[in-house]
Amino acid sequence: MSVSIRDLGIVIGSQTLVSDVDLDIADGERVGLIGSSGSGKSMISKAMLGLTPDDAVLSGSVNLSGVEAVGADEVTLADLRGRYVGTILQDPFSSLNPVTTVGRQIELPLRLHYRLSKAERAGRVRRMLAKVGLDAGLADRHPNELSGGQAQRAAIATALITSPRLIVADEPTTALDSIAQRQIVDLLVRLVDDSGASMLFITHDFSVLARATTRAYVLEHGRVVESGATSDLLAKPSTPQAGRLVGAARKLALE
Amino acid sequence: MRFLIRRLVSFAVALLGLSVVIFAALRILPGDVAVVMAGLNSPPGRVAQLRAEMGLNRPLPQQYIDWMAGLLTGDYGKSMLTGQSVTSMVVERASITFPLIIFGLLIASAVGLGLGVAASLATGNGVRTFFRVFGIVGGSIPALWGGLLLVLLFARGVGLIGLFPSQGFPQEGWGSPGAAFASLVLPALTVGLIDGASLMRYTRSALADVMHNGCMIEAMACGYTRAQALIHVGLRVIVPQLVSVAGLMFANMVTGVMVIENLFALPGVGSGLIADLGDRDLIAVQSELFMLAAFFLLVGLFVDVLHRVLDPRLRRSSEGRM
Ligand SMILES: Nc1ncnc2c1ncn2[C@@H]1O[C@H](COP(=O)(O)OP(=O)(O)O)[C@@H](O)[C@H]1O
Ligand SMILES: [Mg+2]
Repeated sequence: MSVSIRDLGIVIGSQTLVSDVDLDIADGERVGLIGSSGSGKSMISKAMLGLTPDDAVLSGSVNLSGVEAVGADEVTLADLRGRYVGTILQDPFSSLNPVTTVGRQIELPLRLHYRLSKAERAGRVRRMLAKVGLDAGLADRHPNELSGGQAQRAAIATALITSPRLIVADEPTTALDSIAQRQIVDLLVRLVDDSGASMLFITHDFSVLARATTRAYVLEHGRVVESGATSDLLAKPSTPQAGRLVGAARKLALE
Repeated sequence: MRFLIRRLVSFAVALLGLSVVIFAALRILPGDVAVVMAGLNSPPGRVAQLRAEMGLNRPLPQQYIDWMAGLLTGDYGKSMLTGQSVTSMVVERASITFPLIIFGLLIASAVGLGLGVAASLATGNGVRTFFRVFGIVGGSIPALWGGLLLVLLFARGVGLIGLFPSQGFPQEGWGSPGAAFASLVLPALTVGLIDGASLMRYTRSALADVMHNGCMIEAMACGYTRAQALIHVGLRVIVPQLVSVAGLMFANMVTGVMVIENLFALPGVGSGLIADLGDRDLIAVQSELFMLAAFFLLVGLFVDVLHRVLDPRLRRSSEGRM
């Protein structure tokens, strides 16, 4: 699925959180969105699919393979979500439903969008668990029984179960230590490439970005300040904002 | 399992404590059943004789132990005035009160959950205001006043539209189910609507909290619309909280029902207890209060266990301690 964002603006109350954002993702491309915490990355990812808070006002355009998402009605958006677009939200612990089992959570997009028998669904969940490296027995557990890495993998499994055409991953590694981070990023990249989907990968960490994306946008205070090939951004950042993020990533890598 | 045992022990301790309090309170209560029974102007000898017959001249600890021994063997004693066994009196009265409470709870749940969800989904300003006003007004109306209002509106004979009876319960009880049911409609509506308004406010504020919860956004990201996510995920997440609230509501209703039974002249547990108290029927009041206390505590026990079953997070944390 291709994405074309033009002039996106997000306002809540009297606060302008995002403005003038242009962002493109080609079919099958993995694109990064990097910026310090609070710069508006999550807001942009939510605005793509109607997940922004009730009182958010959107302007501009988000085109998903020909479908306009800004101002679209709920039913259209809900049909895109989980079927064509898989979302991995920022904190998996708070996003997994606390009162349902991991298996029920992972199969939810399947239940909402496809008519499958219970056995077929269970089979798909089992295969998906294996793909993300989770034990089949975890399907009957509740989220509070998982470790951080397991919860993250369960969230990835939920986003990928329907083989969506676009994956939006919002800081899928922040909660993890650096070894687990690398494992999760590599896993995600492999699964996304295998399925031929596109991906928007959000992070505030340049060291992760290089593994996950080929091209990236740098966000600062809700505006895109720089964009280009991820390797170029890393090698010679041209704005101070990107320079700071790269510097922070280098320091992290040296530690 | 350990949770259950702990909970059962605290149940037993609380019940024992309450039995002492009930027993002591009734000895302090002014007025003497022997005097009442003998008649105010009867000679002192007659009063003393009656007191001895009823065992009221035994030492207090002895009286308490005898009473408890009776309770443990299922003997709740006899009414001092009528000689009828307290158990059969309570069973007869509960056959009115219990259906009334259940009926009221059903109305409260339907109104509270239905309007709570509707209020959470409402977007128009006018609709929001309506729900808010209903919640505040309904939740703060005293039961007596609300009951009178319903009588004035719907009671046969006095009401604007005479739909339901407002006084008494059919002689043959549930032997004539239609009439029995009809006589419970207005009282149940009174308690049901009032508690329903409170439940609605609670449901709406709990859902508003859940709205910003990550699991709601996740549910929407999986393909639910906002309304669907609210109903399928939001409601389920707050169910354990709602069960606790419903338990409180249930307990509240038992007391609310005492007022309501008097207003609608229903011979239930509440009005019976008040009548026995007026008659200084010591044994009856004592055992009735004990049964009520046991009932309250049982509801609390049930709610706690159910809460735990419904909320996996609690189950886990209790296992962690083992
Ligand atoms: N519900 C909300 N209402 C108002 N402001 C919000 C809300 N959620 C987030 N914000 C603000 O929007 C800005 C961008 O937030 P976010 O997109 O989460 O940043 P990031 O994901 O880049 O860390 C922050 O300044 C944050 O305080
Ligand atoms: Mg964020």
